[in-house]
Amino acid sequence: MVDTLAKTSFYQQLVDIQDLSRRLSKPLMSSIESLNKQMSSLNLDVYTEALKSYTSLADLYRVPDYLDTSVFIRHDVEDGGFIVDTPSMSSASQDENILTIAENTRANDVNKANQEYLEYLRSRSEEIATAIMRTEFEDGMDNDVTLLIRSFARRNKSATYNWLDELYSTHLNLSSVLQGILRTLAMITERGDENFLLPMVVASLRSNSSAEQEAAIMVIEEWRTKECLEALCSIKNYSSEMIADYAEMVTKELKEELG
Amino acid sequence: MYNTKTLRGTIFCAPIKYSKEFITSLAGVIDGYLPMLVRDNGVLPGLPTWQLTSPDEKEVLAFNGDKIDLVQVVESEIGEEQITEFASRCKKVFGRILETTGYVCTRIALAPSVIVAEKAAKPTALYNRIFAVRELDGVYLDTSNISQVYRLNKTIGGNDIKINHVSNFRVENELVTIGGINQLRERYIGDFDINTMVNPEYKFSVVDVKEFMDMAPSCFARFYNLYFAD
Repeated sequence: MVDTLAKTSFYQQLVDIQDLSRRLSKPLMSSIESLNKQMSSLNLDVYTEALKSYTSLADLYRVPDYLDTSVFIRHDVEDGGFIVDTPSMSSASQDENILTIAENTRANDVNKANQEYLEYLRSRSEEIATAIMRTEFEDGMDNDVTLLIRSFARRNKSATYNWLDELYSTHLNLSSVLQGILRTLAMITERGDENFLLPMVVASLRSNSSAEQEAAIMVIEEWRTKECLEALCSIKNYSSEMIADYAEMVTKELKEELG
Repeated sequence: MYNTKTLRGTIFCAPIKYSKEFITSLAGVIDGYLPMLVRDNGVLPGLPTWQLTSPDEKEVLAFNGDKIDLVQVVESEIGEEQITEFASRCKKVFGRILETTGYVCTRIALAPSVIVAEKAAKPTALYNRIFAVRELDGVYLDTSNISQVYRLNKTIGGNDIKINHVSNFRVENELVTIGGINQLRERYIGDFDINTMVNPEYKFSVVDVKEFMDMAPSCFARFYNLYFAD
């Protein structure tokens, strides 16, 4: 085309260019019109919102490499957007039928039911560890994680505490999980439970993380037993002055209370 | 005539660890019992499992994690009096444990095992009766698959509580030496268990445990009648 134009007069070149642009513009304009039609048929707000929510939540929640986060994102039909579920929101009630209830109280049947529930909880360990990491624990306030774990404990306390102990020992390198477990304990335990759970608290008291130490002291403040006081007194170094003051305050209270 | 083989009373509460202080606190109720740590008995790892055995080895107080069993070995005829006596013992032992620890329990049970028949007299008639449609205190049979369960509504501590009446019949083989020769003895055993149903809302105090134990003998009298009355 360029060679042809070079060999013709300027006027002819103008005519040819005009013709060429007419021939090219027709399908181009048609394509643009078609694209416009398709775009207008789309609810772009949905995608914009989805993108916004996804990126903001991705920033908010640091997701571990081993987890497929997509399972926690669902489309909210009413709002036209996307919502990221914390895993704890996945209903436990759908697994209602997995719980074997021992009708009788023979050791074999009770142990079997406990073991079965422990296996179920083990299957949810990573999911719940992630939920704990994503959850902001507020002092004395229930959240999805505490509510879920309390519901586990109501069904089978022994299996749940056993599982929490395992969860703690398998996430020793993730302080946020350990803190979350301790803060959950402070919310869900009853008198006598501390016998079984104290080792976790003592381990966290000896941690270098001030948040973990704080969570451990909060559990002690809740349990208020002689063993807790002994554990508190055995700690010489705290990771911050604020935590040391908090520990001192609780120690003083417990000494007065327990004599 | 039917003989009881063992009697078991059970409460479910927070685990209790072995300690000398705790054993001392049971003085007057459990005296001279020998402690023993138990391993690999199927209880979840991490839960304390230990037991106290009477010097004549006829009674064991077993701490099986979240469950405390008081087991007596007896071989005497079944009857309300036998259950009443054992229930009274349970009240004393469990009462002391709950008072000492300040715990509440979530489940209570009384569970005798009865020797239904020796091999020589296979209990066909009994089995025919077991699997016939039955009712207890106006409540019809809830399940009838190996073990049978009736769930009755009772009142404990002013609260409505569902009480499981469980029976389970099985064959037990025992090696006995007769005239220097080892022989296999086959016995038909009926395990009976009257217990409060699993329910997270149920919490029983010392007073409630005593109320349950007071009620248990008459419950057993009627429950036994289903199977053993002429």
